[in-house]
Amino acid sequence: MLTEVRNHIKLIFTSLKYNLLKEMEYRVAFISQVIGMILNNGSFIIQWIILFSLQSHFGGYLFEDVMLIWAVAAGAYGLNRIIFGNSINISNYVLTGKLDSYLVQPKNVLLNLIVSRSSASAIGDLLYGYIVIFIVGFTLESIALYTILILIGAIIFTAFTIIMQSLAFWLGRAEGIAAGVENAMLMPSTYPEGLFSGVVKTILFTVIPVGYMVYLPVRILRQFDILTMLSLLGFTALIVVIAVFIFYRGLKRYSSSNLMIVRM
Amino acid sequence: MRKYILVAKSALKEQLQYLGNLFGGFFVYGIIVFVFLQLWMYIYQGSSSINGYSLNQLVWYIVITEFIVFAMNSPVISTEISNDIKSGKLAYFLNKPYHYLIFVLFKHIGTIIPAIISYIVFGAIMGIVYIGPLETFQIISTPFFLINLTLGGLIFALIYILIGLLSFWVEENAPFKWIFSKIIIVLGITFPLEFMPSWLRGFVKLSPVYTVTYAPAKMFVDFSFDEFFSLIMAQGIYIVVLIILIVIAYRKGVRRLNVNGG
Repeated sequence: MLTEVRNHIKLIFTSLKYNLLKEMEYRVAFISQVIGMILNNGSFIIQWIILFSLQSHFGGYLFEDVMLIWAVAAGAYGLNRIIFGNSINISNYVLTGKLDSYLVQPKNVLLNLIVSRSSASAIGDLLYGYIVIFIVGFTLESIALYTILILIGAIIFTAFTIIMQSLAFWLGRAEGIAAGVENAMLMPSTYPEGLFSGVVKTILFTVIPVGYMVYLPVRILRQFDILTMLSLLGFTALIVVIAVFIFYRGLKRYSSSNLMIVRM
Repeated sequence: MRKYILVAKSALKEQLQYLGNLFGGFFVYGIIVFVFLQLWMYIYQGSSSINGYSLNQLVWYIVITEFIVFAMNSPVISTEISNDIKSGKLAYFLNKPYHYLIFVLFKHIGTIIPAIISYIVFGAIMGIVYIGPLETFQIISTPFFLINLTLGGLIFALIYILIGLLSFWVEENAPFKWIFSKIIIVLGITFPLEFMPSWLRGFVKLSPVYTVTYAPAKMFVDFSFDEFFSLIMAQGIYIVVLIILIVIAYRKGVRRLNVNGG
């Protein structure tokens, strides 16, 4: 069991190393993508300056708190795209038969598949998160807590993406639906949870788990609470189990036409 | 002119084969406007009007600005021009009996027509469901709004064409596209000019936000003849300047075109 976990971690780090080396091959493009993403996220500060000139707080959230939401959302999204960057391509691989090359390798199919690609611009997202945390003025302990929380957020987002992308096993073309639902998760993730109430809030904590990916981590960062942390960890375990179950259930339905490709 | 209309028609026919692709966009469009609806409902608690806009007007303003961003863009202007230049494919267009830039513009128009029609219908239904019919709607203002909308869409396309032509000089024009889309998204969608601080208004009035998103959305939710004429004037100036810049860039760029083999 322990050896298996160690092998999985080794696989994640080895893939990450080679993915990043590949992305960094064209240095100028790589650096411009990273800086571009930092500026991209930063540009929304103007929007919030204007909004805060109309309202002193949003559901009890001040300007610094909204920046914290951005830090958590960008950090979790960034880590998802850096470590599990290929999770968004599952439906495409199912549809085109590219999954074959992963089935014959002596590694965990799902893990091997989702870690086999990284996004350069996502490094900009991750850096932006840390820049905001430093500007807001946090201690070493809270930076450590932030790192743990965005890792949890990234795992939740990855699990959710796997569930949506796995619909391709049953529906065929599911890229549009998966991308749409993913957007549905990202759009509210940069707005304070106090804006949403009733059914919408329930949806954000169940069907589209943005509440667990961003809102609960932000609550924990603002005021640490062990019960909130435990419920976050419990939900993370649950959604990972559901994602793995759905993927392997769908994999039983998978068939291809012996597509010949080489993974370089 | 007939040949360009034919180009638009064939692009339109091709696009009709992939109408299903629009549904994913509807979903995202609906979610984005919904989040903004929640945001503005929160801000408007206890206020019937802010900076001269009611909540109903503001939500419809966002329905229109988001519609422009979703429906007016196409890969023809955002990627094809740049690809044609970088791959050398442009050389094949130079000896054809049409002008490449007009060809591209009409192909773009043909491509976006299905999106425009379907997003108008979807946007109208969505706006009514979210916030009810536009309270300040005047049937008389519709043709003027459509003029502003068409000119705004034309400016949007011309800016993308100009950015595409920059590929004659720079290998990667993505940062320019990114700056343009960011200005539109951050300053041109969420709130009208009247909500911005005075230090920002001057910049926004000179930026494409004023002519691409603000002009049509403002004319839809708060029509007045005075404002219509000043907006149309600004749009006219923008179009003339952009056409001059595009013609200069194209003429200079084509001379630099260097294609090996093929």
